Amino acid sequence: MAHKHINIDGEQNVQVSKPIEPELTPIRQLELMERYTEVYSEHAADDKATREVACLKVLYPALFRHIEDADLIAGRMDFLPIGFGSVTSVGGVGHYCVFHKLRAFKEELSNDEERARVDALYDFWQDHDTKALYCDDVLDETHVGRFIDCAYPLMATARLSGMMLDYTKLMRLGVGGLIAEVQTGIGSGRDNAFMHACADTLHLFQTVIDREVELTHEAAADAESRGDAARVAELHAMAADLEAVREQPPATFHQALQLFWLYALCAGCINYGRMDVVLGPFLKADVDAGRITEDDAYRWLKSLWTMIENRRTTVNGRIIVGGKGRPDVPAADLFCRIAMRVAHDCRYVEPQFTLRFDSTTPADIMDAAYDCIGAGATYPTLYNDDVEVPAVEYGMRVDREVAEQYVPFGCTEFVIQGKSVGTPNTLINLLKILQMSLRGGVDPYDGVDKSDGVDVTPLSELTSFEALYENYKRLLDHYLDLSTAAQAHSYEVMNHEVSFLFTSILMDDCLGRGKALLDGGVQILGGTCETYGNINTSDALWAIKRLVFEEGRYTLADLVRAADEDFSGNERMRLDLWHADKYGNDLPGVDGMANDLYEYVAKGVRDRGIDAGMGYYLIVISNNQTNTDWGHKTAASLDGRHSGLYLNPANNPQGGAATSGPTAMLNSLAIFDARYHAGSVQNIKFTPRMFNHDRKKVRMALDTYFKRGGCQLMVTVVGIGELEDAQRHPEKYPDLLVRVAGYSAVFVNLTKDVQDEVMSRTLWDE
Amino acid sequence: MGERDATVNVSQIERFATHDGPGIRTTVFLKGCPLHCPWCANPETQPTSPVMFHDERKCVGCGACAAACPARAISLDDGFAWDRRACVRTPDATSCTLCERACMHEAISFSGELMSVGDVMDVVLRDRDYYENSCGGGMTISGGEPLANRGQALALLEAAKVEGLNTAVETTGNVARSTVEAVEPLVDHFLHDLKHLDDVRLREVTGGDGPLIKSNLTWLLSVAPERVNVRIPVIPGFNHDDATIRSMLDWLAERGCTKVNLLPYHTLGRSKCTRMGKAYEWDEHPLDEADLAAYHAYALELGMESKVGA
Repeated sequence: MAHKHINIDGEQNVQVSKPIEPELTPIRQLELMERYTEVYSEHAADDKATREVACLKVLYPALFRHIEDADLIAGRMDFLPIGFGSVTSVGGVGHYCVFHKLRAFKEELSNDEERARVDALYDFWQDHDTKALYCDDVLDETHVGRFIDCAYPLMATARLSGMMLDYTKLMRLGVGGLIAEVQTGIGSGRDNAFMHACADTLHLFQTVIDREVELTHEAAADAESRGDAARVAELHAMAADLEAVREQPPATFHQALQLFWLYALCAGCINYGRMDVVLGPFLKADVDAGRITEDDAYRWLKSLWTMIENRRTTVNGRIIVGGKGRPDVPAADLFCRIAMRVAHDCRYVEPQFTLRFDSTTPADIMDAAYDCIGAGATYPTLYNDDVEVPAVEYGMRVDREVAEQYVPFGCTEFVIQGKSVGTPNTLINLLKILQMSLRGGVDPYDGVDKSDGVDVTPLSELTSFEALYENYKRLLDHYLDLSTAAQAHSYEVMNHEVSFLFTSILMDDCLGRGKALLDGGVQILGGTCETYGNINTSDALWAIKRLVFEEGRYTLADLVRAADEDFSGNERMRLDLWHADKYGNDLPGVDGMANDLYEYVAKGVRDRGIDAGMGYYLIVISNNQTNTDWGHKTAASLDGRHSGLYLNPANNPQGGAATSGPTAMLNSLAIFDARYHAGSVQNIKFTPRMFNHDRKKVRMALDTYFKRGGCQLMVTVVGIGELEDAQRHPEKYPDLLVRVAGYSAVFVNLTKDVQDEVMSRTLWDE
Repeated sequence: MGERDATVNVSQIERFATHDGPGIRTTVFLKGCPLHCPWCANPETQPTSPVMFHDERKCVGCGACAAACPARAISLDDGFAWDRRACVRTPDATSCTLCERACMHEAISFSGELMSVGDVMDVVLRDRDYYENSCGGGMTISGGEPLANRGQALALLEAAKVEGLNTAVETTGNVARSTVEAVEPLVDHFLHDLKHLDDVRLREVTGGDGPLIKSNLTWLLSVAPERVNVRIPVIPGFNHDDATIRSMLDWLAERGCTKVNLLPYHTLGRSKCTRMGKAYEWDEHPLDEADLAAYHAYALELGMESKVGA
């Protein structure tokens, strides 16, 4: 190799659900990856958009799988260790190679000759993988690590997560209409490689539709040979609907569903957005005209749910219903009601079914939502539009109408559907930075100085709480600077390599401007920074304030020394730290500390984003399982947390810290002003005894929380001792669902450390 | 009215209490009870002094607690034992808690502390909007017998009324009539126990004063029947038979009682007794709702609003 690369061979995303194996044989996969690599090289000198569509033609429709027996809509797709994509959950980012998966793939091959061909690909992509190029620029040995490598205070990655496209436009114009719009653009001064590539991309999409027609006919022939006349008819109807949308806009609910699904697959999108807005009008028109029954719609949506589940992206798959800003409310609500039944019956971890609601949401929809949650589905997750919409308006600096189109993706990060990029490409560990600030910049986890040139005051000179807090903020500021630069640079690198053509076509205002998504095309270039250990940090600050500077029970030096030894021989001190007031108990002092830190970080990130010229750059308080992973590599902290233990989950208290009842916890959760974040998640666990038997009072409590300004809530309903028993006897609990943070999982599929973290959270019972 | 500095002897404050009156409530459990029902769910509230909980599952028998105790109130000679009378009290009558601090396994905790009315109300008022959004929620005082200390009960109820809160009292009725009369104007809901009509049997098992309880309840039903919910704990081996419960229901119906709750016997007090080093003396099989179906039907027959469970 010409120069040493940052090694990014390793896990790049959280993966709890096991992916389905590709349908193609290993040798056929190898040939495709080689062909992809060849085409990529052949187009090295061409415009990136031209190269992209040429590469896409290698993948599509080759990666589409056969139709399965229960499928009521067509479209199943594989992804390979090398290819093109937006996110790591289904492949990788831009022109990608996922190195550890490529190594694993190599083991599936039968001989050395084939394995050597893989080695050649591995070497080639080390110099070309989009993420590797980014990591080469941004990562270093000390301060900024790869997502997921938790030894660092800051992690950065290049990805294009959470793109939720303007599917309403696709429905309105159809593929033919989009092609016409592109051609019109080319004819009116936007005659550039990007626009031509867009036209090619849409033609490629038609080729995909053609291939799906073939696959549907193949499946029909197969069904015929089995003598399954009903299935044959079903498949013929599917083929007819595919043909219908090849050029024209959809005319029926099923056609709309089919068109949306294939496009989302091709675009590599794994979050889908406001499906009630997109599909509701087609559904209602069909039902009103007597073309279909609600039961037909139920079966089709159930099939969609299965297709989404089968993509196994673990933390994505958002389908959002309800809320403000829906042009045809009765139609959208009809979709919402049927989707609620599907979510109740499926008990899948994906799609992440999400209800936006406000004070005008019909009572029967809220009732159905709570029934669904009470049945243990963990869905829908609840987003309070009365709080979130004005918050988004302020946070993202958009007008009300735009703000009403906010959608949470992944673990909760907000984007504006069809209008904004908001990928969380930076992650910051607030607790690690506090620990460094108390040790002259040295991270007690590994003894490495990570101050990066910041003037960190020695511990002995931190003689007041104010001095200590200021010293922390100074180091924090530096890391917020690094984070902002890393986020902005991720767009530059991705933009240098790719155009994200499928995505660009359905994002305002790429076609109108004749520019690719990250090339000035997207209306709002936002971004998000995931913050971790928020509450451990504020609890630790509070404990220091009380025990050292107010009560004088310990010296700061004593505390730091003991924490360096993980409180070995100092258990009394650890217990005193742990029993200091904790966030989650509705105590104004410590909750105020949490809010003060929140506002400092959130406003700091927001202001930096504005200064850096981003549409918005906001924190998100969520976690997949990074709170557990990062906890493993974070030393003991002065909130009384042991070294290596999980960090607090998202906006929730540290496990075991909430002891004052559910209303107290809800009150703590509701203190933060939602205007400064782009999504914050909060989990609460109830026993069925409390949630279902006391439903009326629980509803009143949750309503009060939302009236108080609570922006969001996710509820797990699980019996006392059930999780403990499931950990011991997993075979008895194959479908026990829990909400981990911004995602749901089958409990027994989680690793033990994540199970422990979920179990540590207070379970509210009568 | 509403003296914030008055002190009350608190065992626990439970927020989001869903079974202690209408709506969402905060229940303040006060210490001290003239009765000693052997099935009591909250045995730590019976004495007025603090009670030690010792968790055997956490205790490793290291003896650090005994070594730390200046009064030698803890012994491990014959298993863990704590002598309540020997325990050192601070001027405000709480335990010195040196043993609690000495225990690195958190096996020891104390229940019971003197709090100012103001501090109690600060907690209670944190959930005011939950009360207001929940059809008549508010504050409940329970125990123990919350009316046993008339001054404390009045101080809390008055403070609640100054704040405009809905109030409920869970009482045995085993208190002076003058106390019941004094609190009556400040209480929106009386959750009044009736355990047995047989005075001898009641005294024998619970130490309660049957005539006093019946007289107080009769008086309350005469002055404020709409504010009285009578709770009958149905206890196997004590009152769980058709004749006894029916006679109680008849007695209540005659006195104009309109609302009755039939509470199935449970053994929630057992683990607390274990941690208090106290024998759980009423070891029967818990009842479920179905066991009370006949009583419930009879109460309905008498024209009362009846509910099984709180």
